Amino acid sequence: MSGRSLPSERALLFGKPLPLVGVLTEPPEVPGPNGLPAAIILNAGMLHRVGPNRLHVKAARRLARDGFTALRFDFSGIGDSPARESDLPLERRRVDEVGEAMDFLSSSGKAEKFVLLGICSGADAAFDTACHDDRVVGAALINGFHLHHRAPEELIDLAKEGVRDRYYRRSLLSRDSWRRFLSGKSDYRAVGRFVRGQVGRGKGSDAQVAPEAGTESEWRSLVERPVDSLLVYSEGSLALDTYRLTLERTVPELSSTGRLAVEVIRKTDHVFTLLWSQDHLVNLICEWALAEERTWISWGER
Amino acid sequence: MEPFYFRGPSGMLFGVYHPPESREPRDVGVVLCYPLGQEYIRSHRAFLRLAAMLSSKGFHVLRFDYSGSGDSEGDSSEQTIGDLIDDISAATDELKGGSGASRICLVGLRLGGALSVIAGIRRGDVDAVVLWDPVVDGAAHLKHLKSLHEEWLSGSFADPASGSGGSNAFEALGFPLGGPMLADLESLDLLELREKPADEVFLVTSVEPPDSVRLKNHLQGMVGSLRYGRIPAPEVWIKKDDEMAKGLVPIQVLEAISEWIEEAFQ
Repeated sequence: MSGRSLPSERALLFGKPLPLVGVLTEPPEVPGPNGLPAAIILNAGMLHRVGPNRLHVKAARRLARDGFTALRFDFSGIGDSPARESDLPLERRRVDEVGEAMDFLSSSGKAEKFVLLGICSGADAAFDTACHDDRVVGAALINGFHLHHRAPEELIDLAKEGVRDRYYRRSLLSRDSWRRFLSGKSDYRAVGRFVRGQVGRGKGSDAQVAPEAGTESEWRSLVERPVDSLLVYSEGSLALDTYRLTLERTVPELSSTGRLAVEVIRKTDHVFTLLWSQDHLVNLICEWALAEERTWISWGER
Repeated sequence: MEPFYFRGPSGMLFGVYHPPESREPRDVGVVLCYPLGQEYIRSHRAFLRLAAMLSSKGFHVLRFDYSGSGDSEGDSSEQTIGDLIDDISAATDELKGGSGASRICLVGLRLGGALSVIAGIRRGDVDAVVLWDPVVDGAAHLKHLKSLHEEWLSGSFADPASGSGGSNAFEALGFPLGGPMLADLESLDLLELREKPADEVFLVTSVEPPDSVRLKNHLQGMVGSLRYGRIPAPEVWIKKDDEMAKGLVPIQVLEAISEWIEEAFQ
């Protein structure tokens, strides 16, 4: 095969023992290291490196237009990367493999500092890596759950209840939903359950489950290190409810440092199916990255 | 396995070359033609597995992303049927040139199947074609996409009316389709084709829509050898709200395809 490469994108194999497959997207003209961190975009669940609805490709290209080098790669056993044998827990293997990506980018002179991006389980892998590796200076965590170990059943049940409540509350305010309800096209039994639940509960649920101590302390150390984090949640994601049940109460204190920002994108689903929501998400990430650009460059000079 | 970029007619294309991994490499290249949009995302794992099966049997295999799809240059809103067929042709030339294989087989799933048929007709040098649950009627395919899209949004938080300014693009489960592509699909009908894509054709279906039976009848007598296989298997290309569904691989279908290709090129 000829192996010719795009001026701004090229295919990569890196890491050991079995190589990981990735695509490197670089700004159109890179005279040399520009002091910016490189962005590394991590797999969302089992989808390969293009991401849900090709979102990772869109984000990488937009970031490159804004001056950032971006690497999308497949964890071992996902997409084109072969499975590796290991006795380590999956979370630890993910952290090590992101480390291999950073090693590769450092040794090839692309960057010394890194910003991690991930959706859903990719956000969790980004969070875990940020906690373990000082080379990470920023993390855009989209619909991540950030729950270490096994999440308590109680938390998941409450989160599911939360997303159902929000859905039906929205439906009750929607003229279309009422029209569907009156025409028999709505799941009126579920709506009825919600209404009864609200009446029985008075002002509604204010349940809150304490975050696992380890997770909360890790957030604090990330902010102190410092690592800039952007948390993005879709209105339709269960991750929003787990966030509200766990981290939200700590956020005012963490946000006051200027190192943590939280954004909720209304009227969108967990994987940003609609094009407007994809554009909105990519804009949000890139605007955040551009706003942090000077800070990251100054950290690189230290 | 070698991931790389190569030049296509409308931009750089991403491909993965799987060299023969048997002691006796064959003089045959197999080009795998993905479906589009959400169906592409969902079938990636199955194509990787199929490529591995074929390379272990000694074939040179190339998986590639069309322009505007996967890792290739461009956006899906810019795609046209003509451009995608040209991409298949460029991938075929790349595989022939890079591997030295002189005989070619195209394997296409869903819309990739329809594109493989037309690419085979236009090139005239394709020896065999595998059509896996191919799209036969483009207009019906569009309706199907629209219905899946609406079904996915129904009961979700996603609101098409939101967003700044709105968009006029046709949206199909997270992917835009431009006007030219919509027009191309509206007029796509494999039953109107009067030339054969290759001497040997394998039509394999996991589900049995009447379209596939009509295509079988249409191809019968037109091609030198036609085999039809009905192998019940999950439609892995359909988006489901189930994380495990993303990992499904229809192994019986893949085995049938690789065995047929082996027989066809004995």
